[in-house]
Amino acid sequence: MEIIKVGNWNIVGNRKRFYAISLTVIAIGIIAMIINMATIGAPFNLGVDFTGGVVLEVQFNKTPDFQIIRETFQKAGYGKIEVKAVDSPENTVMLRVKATNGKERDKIINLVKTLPDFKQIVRQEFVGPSVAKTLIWNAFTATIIALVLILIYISIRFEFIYGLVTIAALIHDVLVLLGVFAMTRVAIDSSFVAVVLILVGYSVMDTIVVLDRIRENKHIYRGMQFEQLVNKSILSTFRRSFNTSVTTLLAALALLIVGGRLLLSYGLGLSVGILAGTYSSIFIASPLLVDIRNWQAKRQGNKKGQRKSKK
Amino acid sequence: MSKGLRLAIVTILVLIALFVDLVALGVIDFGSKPTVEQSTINLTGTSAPTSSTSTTTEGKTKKSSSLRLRYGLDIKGGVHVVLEAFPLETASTATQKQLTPQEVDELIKVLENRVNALGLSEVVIYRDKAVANRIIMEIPLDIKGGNLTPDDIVDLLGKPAVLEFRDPTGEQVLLTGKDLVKAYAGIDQNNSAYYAVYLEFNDEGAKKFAEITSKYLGKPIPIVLDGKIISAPVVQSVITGGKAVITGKFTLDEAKKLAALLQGGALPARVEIAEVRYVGPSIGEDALKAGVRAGILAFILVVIWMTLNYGLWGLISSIGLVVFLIMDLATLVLFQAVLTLPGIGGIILSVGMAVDGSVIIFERLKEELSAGKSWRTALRRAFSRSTPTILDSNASTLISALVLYWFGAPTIRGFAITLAIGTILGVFTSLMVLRSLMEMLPARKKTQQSTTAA
Repeated sequence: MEIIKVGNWNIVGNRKRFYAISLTVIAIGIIAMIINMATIGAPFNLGVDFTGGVVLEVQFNKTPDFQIIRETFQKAGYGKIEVKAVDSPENTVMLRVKATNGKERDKIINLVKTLPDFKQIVRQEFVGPSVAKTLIWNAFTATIIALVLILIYISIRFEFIYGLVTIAALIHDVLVLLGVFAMTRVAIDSSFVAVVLILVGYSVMDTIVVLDRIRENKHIYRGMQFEQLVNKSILSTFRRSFNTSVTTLLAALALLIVGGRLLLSYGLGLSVGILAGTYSSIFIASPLLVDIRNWQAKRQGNKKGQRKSKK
Repeated sequence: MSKGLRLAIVTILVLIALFVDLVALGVIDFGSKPTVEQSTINLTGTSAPTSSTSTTTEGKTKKSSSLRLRYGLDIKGGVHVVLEAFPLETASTATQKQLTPQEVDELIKVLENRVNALGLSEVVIYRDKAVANRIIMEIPLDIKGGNLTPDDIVDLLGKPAVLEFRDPTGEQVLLTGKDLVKAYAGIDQNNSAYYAVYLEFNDEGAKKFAEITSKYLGKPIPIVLDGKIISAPVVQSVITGGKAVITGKFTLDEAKKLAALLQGGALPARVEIAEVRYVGPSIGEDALKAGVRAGILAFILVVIWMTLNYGLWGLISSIGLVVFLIMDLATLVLFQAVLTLPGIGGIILSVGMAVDGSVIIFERLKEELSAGKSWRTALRRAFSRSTPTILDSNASTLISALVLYWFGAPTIRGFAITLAIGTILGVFTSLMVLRSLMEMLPARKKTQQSTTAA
């Protein structure tokens, strides 16, 4: 039994449609970011890791009244507070408050303890501004270093020119990922960075495998039209790309569905990222190579033409 | 590598891994000697059965403690606190902006003293490698430190604890906690319903204290802690022995806390809480359960998918996946890795990635078979031609994981570790374990090659 039967599909010929699908998804993401800008003041729900502040999960003896919680904080001068119900343990809410130092954290915790029917704080995250700064810096350096190292690796093992198309595919993947996080408003924090980095490592290879097959086929099928050659290469690596991605996607989906709220950003990020990464390596990266090739040929042709007319 | 050698290596490694897992999971108990010997001794012994059971349980908790799965604070519950240290604001150091490494070491020492005085040996204190003035404290919830909540501990450890004996006007400092050698809690001798903190000074302190008590005989001398007067006893007589008592209607807990603070000494720096991550016990337990459930679901989904796609081969790669999990767990135990929640995420993801190698090999194998190669040749060629592909795709994931470990945030390190281990073991599983398993399949005739697709 084969779940996917690879037919004689014309992926390269239909590439404009595939580009359109990606652009639509990215556009929806950007719209979500704009809506977020208008409603929550930032394109994404940035987590405390990056903004600093306190997240408290507070359990009450009976179902708490959100209005009372909000009012209590408002009276104490904390107008901007996020209150959300948490499904387990029972009668628990998540509060997110801005706090710029440890003393403010103490104040907030004491305030929470005065709430009616307060039982206990079951989880707490406080990130001060200096730590937030470090975490942002960590995220930045880790991403840059990983990208550079993988590019070096690709250049050594394959060809540097592959790097260009691969980076285009990566930008695509990250844009889709950011769009989905903007739409779902799942908090973006250090774990998001971890997901992006791992996806960089993981889906780059999917892209490279197709590109490498193109290079291999170039020698085998001399004289074949480039467009056809790319299509053939995509089809012959399709099952490999598809099946390896599905197995990893299944694991990521399991994490997303039953992994619980504390692993949600990993589950969501990996699921969406693997989907986007597989899509881009099959439908975006290699077809893009054809466009680059055509564009180069056109420019060269123009130059030749110009030279001829000059003579 | 010959077929036999490969099978032998795989078998030995899997057996070792299985043994480590069973010990770590508590299925096998063993003391300093292997299980079999221990049980024989117990069986032949004529002593009462109760004594033999007690030795085995002791062996389990003590001896095998190095072979166990270590959970992070986000699973077993606990507090992770980052303190930031700054120079004290005194006239002489006003210009100094940063602490010297020696001063930070001194600070850590004081914190450790306090922890020890409170009897909290499970609290771990260390310096942040990346940022010089940050100190990290890890406080597990299963501490045996009396009635202290993690918040109390954070509070206590962050207190400056500057103890001063002042003159009756309260303006001049006569004696400080620096000259203290010992502080402990005991029953208040004047009022046995309460507790007091007993102090013992060094020679110099004792001399000073004698001078003070003779100078201010009959007058109150305020005892000030961190700028607050905690007691102002009236000097009844000249005290020469270097001993003093602080009374203040303390409960036992209060007296113990104060004694621990004074025993540890004043913090040589001003500290601020820069980061707190607290996970309550029920939250950690729930999260672990959810993680395990996700792992089981991931495994089942992957097995179904592989079997649907590749039939018998898919089942074989599922056996490979079981072997992978056995070795993954054993590696975590042997490397004494701390399993955090993101770490579980990493393991689950690596389950999905580990079978990628199988997919690559099976696709090659199909190509080779349809090209008319014999089973043996096809199998050999499929593995040798897949090797560079498998190495390449895992190398880039490994690069990402290692970068994440070295440059990423501390909270996601667990994810990087388990993913890196999973990536390496995934390659081993594909190239060694799967190959040994596939080589056990009977050689098939060329015409049977398409059965998996039927």
